[in-house]
Amino acid sequence: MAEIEAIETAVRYFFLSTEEVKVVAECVVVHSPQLSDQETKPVFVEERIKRVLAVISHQGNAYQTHEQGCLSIFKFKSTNGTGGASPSTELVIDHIIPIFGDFSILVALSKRNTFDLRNPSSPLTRNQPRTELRVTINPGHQFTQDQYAESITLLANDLQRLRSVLAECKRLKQIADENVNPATVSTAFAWTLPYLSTASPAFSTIPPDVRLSRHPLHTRLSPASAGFPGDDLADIQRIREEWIPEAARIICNKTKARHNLKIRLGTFNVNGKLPTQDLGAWVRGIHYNANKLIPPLKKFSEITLGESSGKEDETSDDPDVLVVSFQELDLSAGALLYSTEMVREDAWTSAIFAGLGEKLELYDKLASKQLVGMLIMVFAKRSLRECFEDIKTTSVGAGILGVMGNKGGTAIRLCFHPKHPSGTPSLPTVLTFVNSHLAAFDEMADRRHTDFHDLSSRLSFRLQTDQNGEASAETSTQVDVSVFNTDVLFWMGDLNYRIDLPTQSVRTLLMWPGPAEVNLVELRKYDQLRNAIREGKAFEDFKETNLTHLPTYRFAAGLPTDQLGYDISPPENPSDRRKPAWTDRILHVHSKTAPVEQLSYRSHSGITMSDHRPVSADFVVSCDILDPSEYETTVKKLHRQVLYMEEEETPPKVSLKPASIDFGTVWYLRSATKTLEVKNTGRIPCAFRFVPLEVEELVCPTWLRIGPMTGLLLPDESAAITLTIDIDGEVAAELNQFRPKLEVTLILHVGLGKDHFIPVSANYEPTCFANTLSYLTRLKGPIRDVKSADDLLSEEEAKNAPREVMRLVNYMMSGSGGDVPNIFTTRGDPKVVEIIRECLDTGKDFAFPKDYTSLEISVGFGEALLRLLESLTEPLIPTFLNAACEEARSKDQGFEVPTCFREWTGQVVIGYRLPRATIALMAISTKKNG
Amino acid sequence: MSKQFQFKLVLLGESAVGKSSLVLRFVKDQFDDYRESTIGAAFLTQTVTLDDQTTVKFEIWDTAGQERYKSLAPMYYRNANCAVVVYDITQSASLEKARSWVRELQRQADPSIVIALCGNKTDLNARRQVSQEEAKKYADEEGLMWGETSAKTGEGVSDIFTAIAKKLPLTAPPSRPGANRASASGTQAGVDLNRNPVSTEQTDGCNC
Repeated sequence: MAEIEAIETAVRYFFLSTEEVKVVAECVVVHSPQLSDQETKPVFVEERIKRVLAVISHQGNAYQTHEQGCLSIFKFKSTNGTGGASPSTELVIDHIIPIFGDFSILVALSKRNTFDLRNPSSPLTRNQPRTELRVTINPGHQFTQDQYAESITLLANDLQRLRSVLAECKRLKQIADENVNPATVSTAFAWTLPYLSTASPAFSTIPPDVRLSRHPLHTRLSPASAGFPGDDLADIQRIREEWIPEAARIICNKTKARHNLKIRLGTFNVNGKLPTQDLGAWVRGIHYNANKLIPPLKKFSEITLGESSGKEDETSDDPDVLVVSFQELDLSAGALLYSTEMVREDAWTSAIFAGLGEKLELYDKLASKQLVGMLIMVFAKRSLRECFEDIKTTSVGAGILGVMGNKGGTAIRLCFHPKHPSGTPSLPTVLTFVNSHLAAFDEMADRRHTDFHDLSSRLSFRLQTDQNGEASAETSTQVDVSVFNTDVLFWMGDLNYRIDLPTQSVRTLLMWPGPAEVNLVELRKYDQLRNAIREGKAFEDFKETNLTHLPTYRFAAGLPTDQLGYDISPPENPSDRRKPAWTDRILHVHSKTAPVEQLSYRSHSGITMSDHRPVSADFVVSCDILDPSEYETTVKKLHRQVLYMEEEETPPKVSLKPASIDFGTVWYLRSATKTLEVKNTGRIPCAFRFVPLEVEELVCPTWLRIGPMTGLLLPDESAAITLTIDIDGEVAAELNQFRPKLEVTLILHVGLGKDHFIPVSANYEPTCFANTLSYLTRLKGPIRDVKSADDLLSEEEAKNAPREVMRLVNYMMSGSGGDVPNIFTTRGDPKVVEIIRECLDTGKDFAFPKDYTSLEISVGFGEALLRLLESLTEPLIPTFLNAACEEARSKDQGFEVPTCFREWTGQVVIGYRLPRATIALMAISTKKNG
Repeated sequence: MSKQFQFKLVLLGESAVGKSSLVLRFVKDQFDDYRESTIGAAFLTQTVTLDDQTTVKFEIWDTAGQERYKSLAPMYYRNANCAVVVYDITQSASLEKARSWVRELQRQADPSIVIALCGNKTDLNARRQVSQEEAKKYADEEGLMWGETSAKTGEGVSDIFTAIAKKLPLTAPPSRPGANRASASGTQAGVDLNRNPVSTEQTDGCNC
């Protein structure tokens, strides 16, 4: 039995931690070549080749809720099955059969159990155990093309294990029958792919679900706490799986060479129109009408290692890849029934090329995909053309009846192989672009969420994978991979999300004079998409840069419009009007290996042919440059180094330096950092993680941050863990009134080893920021002088206004600051604000280093007052006074507003609009009425 | 029929009384003259055979004795079936500390916890400050088990753990499997062959 146990262990190591090996059984496959034709005398040769049967269950992740199973059959590299080597290096997967649909497994007494007269001398036949059983596996489906269609027959004699195999198969089949949707079966079982495609899942060329990158490793480990280490074995395995490719990337890319790929994306709902305007602004980012809402392009450093084209007119600002997506290309009823694809696509392709102007000849069209009105096209620089491989396209309808394609998505997947210095193409970075058009209308947000989830599970690409690296017709398999199996996923289109405010409020906010950024901040709070992301209803793992452009819908040509051009029809019924909304969006999610920086996000108001405005965004994707063969060798080497770390006799050992960490004094909004060195002083690799005191609790208090939270160390290797104290408003609000010494003991757990304690301490200096006004009015002196509650004034004795606010107002009104225009709308220097804050907290006179101008100081005071009021833990202006505040347009009107103000945060607008004296007085009067 | 019991045991006591050395002697029969102070909690296991039929497996948490980590001790003694509270016979202050640990355990630990008081360092008998009588009397008053040991020579070490092993099955329910480091006990091997055995005996037509 020792052998089967070794095989069990080997099978377990073969699979990733998301898979559980339920049962393993030994069996044989019988090859019976009829004749050996070299012999004169026919000899019956029966060849029995060892196989291992295993039932694997997949526990799924956040995106797959039910358990899935498959039956896997292993063969041995050396044909006799033992070969002296350990099973772990010998096992190779032969078949992996998802358990669903018509899958069946049949066990019967073997016919060979009868006496074989043909060759009585065959030792195999003679020694055949009496209980030999025949196992017939019928996949019942073609999970991937050209595979598993035929049934497989094996012989085995371990009745007990076979029974367990049957029971598990039955159980998993039942779960599959209840849960697996035939339409999504290929993506549902996508987890089996890495095992098929290469010898080890660690070498898989199919990236894992990109959404996992938003869930740090420590959140995916087993629940554990001090004294309860959780499932150490599983945790070690997970940490190891994440560590191997990361470590290999570092080792193989010592020079940290990256290829910065510039990608420009555009989305445009064209409302059935044909191109009648120059699209240059949209496709190239050239601005004819400088729009002051849009910040200038951020500069980024250019370390592009890729080959540069000899062409003179290729500048670094030109994107390497241009991806444009259209919706409502064709609104005619016929478009749903017959294809008008080519005509429209050609027209828009020409318009794009025209828009590229003189840059036209730098680009080639790489791929396009259309589904009724939705079209996505990828253009790439000719000089990089050969770096793009495995270009795949797909589309899914989500409209009428779920398939018609008036709504839905089209997508393109590219493998980008930047050139490695050795000349070979680098390991690829997989880029995926989705263009989607989701359900319309204000109240259909839920339908849009459903559309998104539907597209997420159904959009997949059919890929060719090579089993065991041999690209022959026999071993290559076609598999479907999700759009999420990528390094970077861009999702754009007319997502149709609206703004949850009455149409009049939206229009008022849009037309509110003053800095648009400020008005849009307010509007963004009611954006359905933003709220859906926050509430986890849709696009949960995606990132979108703040919208700083005006809503891109709905404009009207030939219809009544407001000043900004938004449709105000029907004029007789304002409540029926379409609200302006940010319907056209560009979002992204990326893996850790391919960081993405967004450089711009804007709309193009000059292109007026549609009721939408086109939107564009520029990104830089930083791609690793790695030699694929070196990478694979390194992964294998690392894999061997850490494979059996949980089986060693000696316990893992680490040392920590320093043994305890004291931050000294820490202040509000001043980040402080210390480093903890963890060194592996043992003889085996070890994995570590921080654990909380109690399961479900946080590992550390809110004022402290730890990074990384997990790690793996080879012997003698060390890792630097960064501890950061950040006292933000929320934390300060908790700490200010109690002035505690900040203390915590962190617990670092070494897998299968000790819990280490690391005491961390700091002294916090309270601040007058992030308090309640009523608390500030009870201070006898500066807040730093408060030692206990006895140092406070009683509520009756409390002052009319906080001393700190008075000091700021007095300074500003005394004229020492001079009469500064826009004192509240100009951003103050944070350093000046910090000096002011420190003086308020200590009670010292305001004093500034000579290198600050009086203007900088004055603006700093304006900023400090705003920040102080903003940081209050209770709203300053009561909500019922909002309307009155909005009406106030002058100092006098400001005075007239009843003198209690609370809801500050919602009404930052007022601070920017009213004369400074008014705001100061508002603040001062707070106490009287509040 | 053989029985195997599994119990969680925690070591408590003042810093430098020899808790880690005691465990090292018990688990590996080794001794280090210079042992670093434990800053944390170490987990070890050792099995005691009582007779042909009965074995007791201890899951031992060796905790830090330093005062600054005292607040973490409850995390390690919760759900413990037994506690060994160690003092140093050459330091009478360490017995005082042991008393406060006993009080804390009596107040906060599982009410069925078995507490053993253990006077360590009998090899330094010449410098003895805590008499056997004094310790024994206190142990009797509080209903504690009591013994003296020398982690250095090994004297009394296995005796005290064996005594606990003998007492436990009678008084305490064994710790829940999986409640404490399920993984280390091998239950997480992933292959559970005894799960849901097929009830049907027929082998010629199970088609699922």
